[in-house]
Amino acid sequence: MTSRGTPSRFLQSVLQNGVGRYVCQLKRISIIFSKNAQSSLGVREFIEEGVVDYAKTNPGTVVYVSPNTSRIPKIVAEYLNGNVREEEVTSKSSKQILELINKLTNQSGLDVIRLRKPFHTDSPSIQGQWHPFTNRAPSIGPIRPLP
Amino acid sequence: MALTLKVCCAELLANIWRLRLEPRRISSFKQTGLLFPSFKSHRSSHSISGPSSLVPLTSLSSPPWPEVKSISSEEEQRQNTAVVQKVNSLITNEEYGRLFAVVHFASRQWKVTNEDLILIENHVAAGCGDRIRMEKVLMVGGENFTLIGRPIIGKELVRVEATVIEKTESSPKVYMQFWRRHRFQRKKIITSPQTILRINSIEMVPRLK
Amino acid sequence: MASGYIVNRGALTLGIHYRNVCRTNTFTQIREKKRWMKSYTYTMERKRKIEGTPPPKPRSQKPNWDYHAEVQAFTCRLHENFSLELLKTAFVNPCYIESEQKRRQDLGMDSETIALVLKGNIELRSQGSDFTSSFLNDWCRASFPRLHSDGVAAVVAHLTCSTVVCHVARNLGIEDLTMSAEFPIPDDVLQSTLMAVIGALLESSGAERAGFFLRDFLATQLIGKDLFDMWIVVNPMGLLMEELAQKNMSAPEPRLIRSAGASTVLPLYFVGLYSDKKLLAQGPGDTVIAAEEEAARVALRDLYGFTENRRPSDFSTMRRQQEPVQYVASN
Repeated sequence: MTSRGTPSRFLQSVLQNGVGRYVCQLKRISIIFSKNAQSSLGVREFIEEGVVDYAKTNPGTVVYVSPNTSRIPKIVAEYLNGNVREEEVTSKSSKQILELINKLTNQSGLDVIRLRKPFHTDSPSIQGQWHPFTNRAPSIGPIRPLP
Repeated sequence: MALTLKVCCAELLANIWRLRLEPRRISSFKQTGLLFPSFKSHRSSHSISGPSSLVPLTSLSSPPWPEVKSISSEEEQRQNTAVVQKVNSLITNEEYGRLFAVVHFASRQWKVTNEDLILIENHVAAGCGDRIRMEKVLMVGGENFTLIGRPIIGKELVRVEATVIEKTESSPKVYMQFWRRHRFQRKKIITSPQTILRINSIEMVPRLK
Repeated sequence: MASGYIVNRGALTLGIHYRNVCRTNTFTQIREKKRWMKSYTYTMERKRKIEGTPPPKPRSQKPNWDYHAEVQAFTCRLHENFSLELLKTAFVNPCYIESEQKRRQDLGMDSETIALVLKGNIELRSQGSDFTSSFLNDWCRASFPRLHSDGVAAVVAHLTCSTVVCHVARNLGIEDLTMSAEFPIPDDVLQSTLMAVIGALLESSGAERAGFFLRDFLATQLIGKDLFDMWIVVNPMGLLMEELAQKNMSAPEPRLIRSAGASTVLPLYFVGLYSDKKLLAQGPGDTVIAAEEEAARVALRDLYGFTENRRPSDFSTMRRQQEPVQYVASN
C-alpha cells in the first residue's frame, strides 16, 4: 500500500531509552508449541538446545514455554510499552527461531510502520532558528531592500 | 549607433563603480549595465572625487549590497588571529552551551546534538546497548563559534558518542514488477534492517582524556 | 475416511515426516464450508454489541505468569540490585490488602487462621517520595544554579506529578507487577507504587544508586521541555524586574524593535527589553503587549539558564564509574 494509505509514526524511543541507561525493551517471551505436531519440530529443537542459553544471556526477559495442542506454534513477545507481538513459527528450523527471537529482543515495542523521518531532535536549533528578521538591522517601518 | 552608445555607457558605469569597489565586482556590474539600459543616463555624483554632478541620487545609483572596504593582508592576518584566539579561549574556558556536530556515518551526513535519535538503514556491528564513538566529524559548533573541518576534525579535538538502542527491521515494502500483456509479474516484500542510535554526548578538547 | 487411512499407512512406511499428504491431522477432517459459522459469528457480534467490549484483565490473570520470575527479571532489566522481599512488599498496595481480606471474609475463612502476611508499601512509599523530592530538588539546583526557587519547586512538582510518574511507571512494566484492588490501576495507586519501588531501591542499594535511577528515568523527562510549560508565571515582567533589582541592574525598558504587517490580520511585533541601554532579550508577539510579555519570558529564560541551547545535563557519570569498557575499533 502507499505511504498515505498505511499508518506512520515519527522516530521515537520509549522513555528516552539511551540517554541514561539502556533498558532492554522485551518484557516476556512465551513460546507456544505442540508436543507432537510436525510444525513445532523446530520449536522443540530450540527448546531442547537454545532456550536456556538465551534466557541466561537475557536475564531481563522472562521466557515462558507452554506446550498445548495448537497446530500453529507461536512466539508471543510482550514489550515494556504494552505492545504485544505474535509471530508464527510453523516449520521453522531452530536456527531461524533463534534469529527471530534475537530480532524480537533487539526491537523496542513501537509499531513497525512507516517512519516519517530518520531522525528526531528535541533541540533542533542551537544558534537560533532563522526567521526573516535575523541578521537584519532593526526597523519599525515596512521591510525594504537595504538602502 | 545605439549599440555603441550602450557599450560606451556601460564602460562609463563600470569605470565609475570600479573606483569605489573591489576589482572582482566589475563583471557583475557590466552585466547589469547591459541588462538595465535605464542606467545609462544616471551617474553617481558622490562617488567621484571631483565636482558634484547635477544628476540626483536614486535607489539604484549605488548597488543594493553594503559597501565592502578592501583590507590589507596584515590587517586580515590580525583579524584572523584575533578570531582564532577568541574561539580558542571560548573552548578552553568551556564557555559554550549545547554543541552540535555534523557527522559522516553510514554514507550520510547528520547534524547531531546530544540526546537525539538517528535511524540507520543497515546493520551496525555493535549489539544493543553498546556505546559507539563516531570518528568522522566534519563540523562542530556551539552558539558563538563553529569549527569547520577540512574535511574532518581531528580525533583529539572532538568526541561524539552514541548508544545503539534498537536493531529492528523496517516496515514491509512491496517490490513488484508488472508488465502488461506479457503475463509477467513478480512480487517481493522487503524488510531492510534498521539500527537506531541515540547520540549521548559531544565533547570538545578540555574534557577529552 | 480414505485419506485418513492412507495417511496412517504412510506414517508407518515413510516415518514421521510426510509432506505431500495432509500435514498434521491423522484424523478425519471435514473441510467444507461450515453452515453454522455465519450465524455463530453474527450472534457473537450482536452479543458483543449489547454487552460492550469485555473488561480488561490484569496480566496476572492471563496465562503464562510467574510472579517471582517477573520480579527477578524486573530487577535485572533495570541493572539494579533490589532485595526481592522489599521489592515484593513495595508492589503490595493497602487497597489490595483490604480487598483480599474482604474477599477472604466473604468466602467465610477465619480471619485469624488465614491472615494475610503481606505488609503494605506505605512506609516504603513515604521514604521513596521524600527521597525523590529531595534528590530532584538537589539535582535541579545543581543543573540550573541560577533558577529561582519557585521555578525549582515547579520543575520538581512537574516531574513528580501523576501524569509524568504514571507514564514512566507504565513504560517500566510496573503496572503488571502491582497488586491493587481495581483494574485498570488508577493513577495515584501507580504513582505510590513507583515511589515505593524507589524506597525499596533506596533501602537495598543506597542513596547513590537510587539517585542514578531517578536521574535516568525521571530527570530525562525534562528533555525538550520549556521552563514556562512547567512553571506557570502570570506576570513575567514583574518577576523580571525583581530579578534585575536583586542584581542591581536598572529596570527593563521595552522598545519596539521591529514590526511587520501592522495593519493586517497577522501583525508581528518584536519588542526588545533594554537595561542600561544594553539589550537583554527580544521577543515576538501578535500585539505589542504580547510581544513585551514574550520578551520578558525570553529574558527570564536567559537569566535562569533554561534556554534551549544550554549545556545539556550529564547523564553519563554512572557509566564512567563502572568497570572500563572494552574498545573495539573498526575501519
